[in-house]
Amino acid sequence: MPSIQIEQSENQALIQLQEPLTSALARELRPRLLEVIAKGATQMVMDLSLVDLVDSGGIGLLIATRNSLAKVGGGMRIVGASSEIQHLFQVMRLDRHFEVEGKPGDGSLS
Amino acid sequence: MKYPAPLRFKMPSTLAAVDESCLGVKTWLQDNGLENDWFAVLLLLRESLNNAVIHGNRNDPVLDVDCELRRGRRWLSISVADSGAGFSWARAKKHRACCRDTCGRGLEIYQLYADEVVFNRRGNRVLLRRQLRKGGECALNSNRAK
Repeated sequence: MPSIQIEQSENQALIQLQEPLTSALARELRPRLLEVIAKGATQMVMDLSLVDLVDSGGIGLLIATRNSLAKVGGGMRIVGASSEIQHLFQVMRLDRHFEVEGKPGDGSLS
Repeated sequence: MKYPAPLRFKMPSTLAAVDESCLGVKTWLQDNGLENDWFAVLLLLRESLNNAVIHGNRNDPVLDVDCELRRGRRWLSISVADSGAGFSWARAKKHRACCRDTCGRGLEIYQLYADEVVFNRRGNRVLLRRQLRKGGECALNSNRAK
């Protein structure tokens, strides 16, 4: 199964990741997300349901994507984040810049 | 109580090697009763290995990164060394990324998730110590928990 699945319909894009969002994956994903935005996506949903860890490189990718979307008047929502990832986003102050939703039934710290 | 032997390894300076090493360490944590705190430990490990690969050894696969994990009664330590010129860690520790910055958050993660962060004078070796928590918590260090 590929580690990244991208579905795009007009200005909406759903990105599903199936492995940790690390610096290595961020390098691979960055040009693909820029391509999605170039094709017209302004509203992006990043599904982290199958992701157990995000490192600073992954955080950098999320910020860069948010910055690119903001330039075209769009935004990004993160869904399916584990309680640990929500906690990380909270202490790194990222929850002020993204809408972050946890996994259904997961104990959210936010 | 007997503690596991330290886990020592060398890896080439590539991000693929970081991923592979972290998978191995995850198994070591599970085998040694540390699975409850795996998120914080693996996050600290990843950040230190990434820094060694990217900033220390400049992604040169010929250069090795040395790593050691050691478990004590109440602590787990991670030591990571690269062959680079080092950096001014005292200055970098004061840096805090702003909301639009796409990099520069690694040292902040050290400070949030490790209880002790010690660099050698040159800045090419870091020792991170984390107090082991009881239960399944992924707590921040005691000074940052508020």
